[in-house]
Amino acid sequence: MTAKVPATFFHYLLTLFLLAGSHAFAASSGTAGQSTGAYPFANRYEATVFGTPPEFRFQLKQRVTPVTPSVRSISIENRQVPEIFWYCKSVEYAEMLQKDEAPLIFIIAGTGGRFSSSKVEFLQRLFYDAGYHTVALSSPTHFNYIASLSKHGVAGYVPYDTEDLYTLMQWVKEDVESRRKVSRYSVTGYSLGAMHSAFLAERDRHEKRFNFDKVLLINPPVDLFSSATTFDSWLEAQNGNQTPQKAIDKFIRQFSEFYKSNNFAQLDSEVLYRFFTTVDMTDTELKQLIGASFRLTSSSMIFTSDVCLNAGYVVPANTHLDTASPLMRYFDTASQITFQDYFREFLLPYLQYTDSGMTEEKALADCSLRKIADFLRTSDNIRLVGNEDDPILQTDEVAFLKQTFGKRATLFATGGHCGNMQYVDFAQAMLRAMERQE
Amino acid sequence: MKTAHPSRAIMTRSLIRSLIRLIGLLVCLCALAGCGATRTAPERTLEKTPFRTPVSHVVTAPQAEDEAEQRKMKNVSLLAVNDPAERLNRTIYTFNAKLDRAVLIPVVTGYEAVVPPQLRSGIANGISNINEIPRLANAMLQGDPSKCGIIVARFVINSTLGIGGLFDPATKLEFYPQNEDFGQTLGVWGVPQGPYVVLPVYGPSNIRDSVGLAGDMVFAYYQMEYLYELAEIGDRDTARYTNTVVRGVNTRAGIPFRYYTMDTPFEYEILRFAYTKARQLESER
Repeated sequence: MTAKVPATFFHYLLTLFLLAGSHAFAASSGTAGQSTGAYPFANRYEATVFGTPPEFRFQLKQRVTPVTPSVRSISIENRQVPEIFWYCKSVEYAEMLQKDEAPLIFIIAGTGGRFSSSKVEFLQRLFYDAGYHTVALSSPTHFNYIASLSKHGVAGYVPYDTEDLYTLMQWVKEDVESRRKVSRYSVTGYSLGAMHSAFLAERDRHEKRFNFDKVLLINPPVDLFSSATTFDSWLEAQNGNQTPQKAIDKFIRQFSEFYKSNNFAQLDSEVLYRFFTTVDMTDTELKQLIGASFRLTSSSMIFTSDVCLNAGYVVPANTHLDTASPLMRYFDTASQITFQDYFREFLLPYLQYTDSGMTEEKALADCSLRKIADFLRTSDNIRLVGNEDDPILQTDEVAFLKQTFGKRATLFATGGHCGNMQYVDFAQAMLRAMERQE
Repeated sequence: MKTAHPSRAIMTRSLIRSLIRLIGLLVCLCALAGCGATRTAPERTLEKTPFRTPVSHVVTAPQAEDEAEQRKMKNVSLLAVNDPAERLNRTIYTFNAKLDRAVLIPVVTGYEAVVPPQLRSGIANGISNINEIPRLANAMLQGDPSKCGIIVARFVINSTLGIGGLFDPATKLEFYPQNEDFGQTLGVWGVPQGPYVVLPVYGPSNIRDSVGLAGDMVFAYYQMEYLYELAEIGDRDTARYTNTVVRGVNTRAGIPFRYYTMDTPFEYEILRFAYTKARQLESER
């Protein structure tokens, strides 16, 4: 039962604004009748932006007393977190633990994603219902983790990201084991989090801190930079005047029209999907929305790294930013920077600063599943669930995944990038992938 | 207006004192509850390094004389909003966030833990029902008869079938809640939003909506005084205080927003943009 304070259009718009490319509506709302139909969005861009309508979703267990993830935090002694990040001085994550001994699964968010995002929470509840202790972690590319956890203060270089996660996961392991019995460990993640999972598995093969029972990759990119470049290309001006700003504005306007003309009590996910059915946007415009959402993530990452390292990239070096400092100028600058430029102008020079032998080729190769293809091909405990029409994958990359994972890959024909993650069949495929097979 | 109660000043002072004590207690509780683990990791202290990027995108502040350049910057910016008092606004924003974390959210959490959902829903419905009157006033001032009709229907249905507003059968009968305030009314009358403002405790606003909010608050004050009169409540100060606290807790409980959970350090900018855009579209009819 929710309190009926008439939510203002502002709250709705805020939700919607953060929605493009990350469908923010929580999995918990709505108990619509189950539909057995096929996943409704055949268009990969619509799927990516709109996600899964409530009646197509996997139904999580309804409990008399609802169980919610509890947020925990770890702060690193003497860490010099810049003043403007006063609110992320500690690393936060969320756990849902069973009462008795159980297997534990780590869930890693996608690019820029937070441990409490709707996708992570869905996975957390899905596996909790299946009997796991679940621990949800933000992406190392989330600005909060850059400020509070990251060893180097930069994100987007997979070996560094993996190291940050591996350290954090060992801390969490120690903490959980002091309170609960854990029978075995598994790890999963979607999007970039899936790539992190794969590299964590590879690393653990040598270090053996977890001896992962299962590793589940959900909609992974094959090559981080190839996928990021794809997003960047969607923001390049199309036919002169079709700017991303216009696409965003159009989306907001269509939402506003819907809000004015349709009466509804509350904007729950069902009403939201009624809105989506009225949306009239071209593929180009949808791609611009997805690209803009990714750009917001990358500019948050760039700005945070720049401030943490005092690198002088978008903020002048030695600028003291306090909690009252206007940041708009830095957002404007950072949001004009492509991921490719960030790589060439910031990330690579930093990697070369810490390791003089670093080359562009090596840095790029380090962020590709192709680097650990042999390991992935021969590890029976690594499973993949994804979509053939995932817009972040090139044709040859889909072929690579099929070839590498063989029978351990479940690929759906439609669903876009993580759009069908909550779809019944997709959720069941994830659960099946985690089952033990000798 | 009634003459002030002689002991009102004293009561107010003791009220403030106990409020401060309550806040102090809550802050201590939060500090205890929110205290997580600490780890020693000398390689993760984010020591300063001499590293600088070889290429810099730093834009120096546009000079005042270069107005064309400034205009260009404003057009480029996706999230541009007129915010001349930004430093002050940001200071208030940070204060609000800290207050929210230390006091409001713990109070809401306590409220949700102690008060059963049926009762909370009843309180929310009751307050919403009382607020139909100012909504009606605004719908009338906006000259919108269809909205007036819905609001009147809601008030009548919920006050009777809904047992004095504790339930909301009107929504089930498809008379949906209308969200009207004096800021919107001013907007309909053609008053521009004016510069962006962050109000203490309350949050995002602008000059127009701040005036609107003051108007709505004055209206609510007299409306409540009238209701106390009707209910023959003697101890007005307690009634006023209870009303403020209950409304405050109820309002915060109904807003899902949490500070600093937006996945970006540009939360202030995004909130400012979304607020301004929403208010602009709301009064564009």
